[in-house]
Amino acid sequence: MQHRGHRIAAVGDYDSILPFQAIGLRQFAIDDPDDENRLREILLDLINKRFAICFMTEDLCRRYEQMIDDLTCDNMLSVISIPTLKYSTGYGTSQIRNWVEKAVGIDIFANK
Amino acid sequence: MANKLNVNPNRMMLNVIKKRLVTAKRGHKLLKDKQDALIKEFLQKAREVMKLREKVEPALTTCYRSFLMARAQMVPAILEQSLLMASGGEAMVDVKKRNLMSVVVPEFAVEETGGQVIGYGFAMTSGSLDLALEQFAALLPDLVRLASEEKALRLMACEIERTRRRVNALEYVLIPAFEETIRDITMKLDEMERSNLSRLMRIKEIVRSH
Repeated sequence: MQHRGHRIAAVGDYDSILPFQAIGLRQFAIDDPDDENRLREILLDLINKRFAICFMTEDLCRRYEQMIDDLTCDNMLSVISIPTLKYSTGYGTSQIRNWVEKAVGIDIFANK
Repeated sequence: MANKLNVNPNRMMLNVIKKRLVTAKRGHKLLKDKQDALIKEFLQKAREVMKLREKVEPALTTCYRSFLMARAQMVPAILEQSLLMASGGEAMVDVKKRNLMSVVVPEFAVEETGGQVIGYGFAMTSGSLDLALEQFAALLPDLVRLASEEKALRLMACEIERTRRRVNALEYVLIPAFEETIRDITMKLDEMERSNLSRLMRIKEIVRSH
């Protein structure tokens, strides 16, 4: 079954998500990374408004990993980490390795 | 040694538990097969997602870099204004749900919006901004594909973990408990049978001696 017209969001610091606005993504800037409640509100809002994808900067994904997992495990919102404008820590790939290790018991990408 | 179930040792209970043991063994086999198939599918997907991520992340960094160049050449207020006007509309995706070994995974596809037209004026903006935004727009389908694959991977990882717990619970707790209970009930019934037999023999002897 196909559902049409789901929106995409970009969440993170203002500088990193600015260009996403130009390609039609709804942006939600978070000025203070310590503000957990603001992020929770944004995520709940995205879930309620049936957004399909949320691109979130790595620093926030890493910091609030558990909360994001808890909020998005039973719905279709897909939260994807993206590098920030200033740096990339490789969190996205390490997250995939974590999932593989959790599911299979070994890290199949360990030798790479 | 597994904990045996707290049931009455009679024939009816023995039959019930034997039936439950058969069901549990069948369930265990099915779940084990499901787990193997899921892991096979999962590993394949994990490799694909890893490749996609390794492709998308450097591309995104390049996009950021060219955006920074454009940003440096422009007045911040004009840049913000231009970006607001840049998109022809909101980017939308279609969501299709697919059942993958009883895991419902979403599949996203970018909706065609009828051509991306740059909506800002060219007089006050630099050419490098056009290039940077073009790069971003070109990357969007890959980002959307990554989103759908990563979500599927995450859901499959959860399902594999859940299935493994179920398989282990059946294999190490429930099935041994049933087997232990069946053995226990059989022994008790045999014991009753033997005591009954010896009682009958004794009674027969008494009757014969009179």
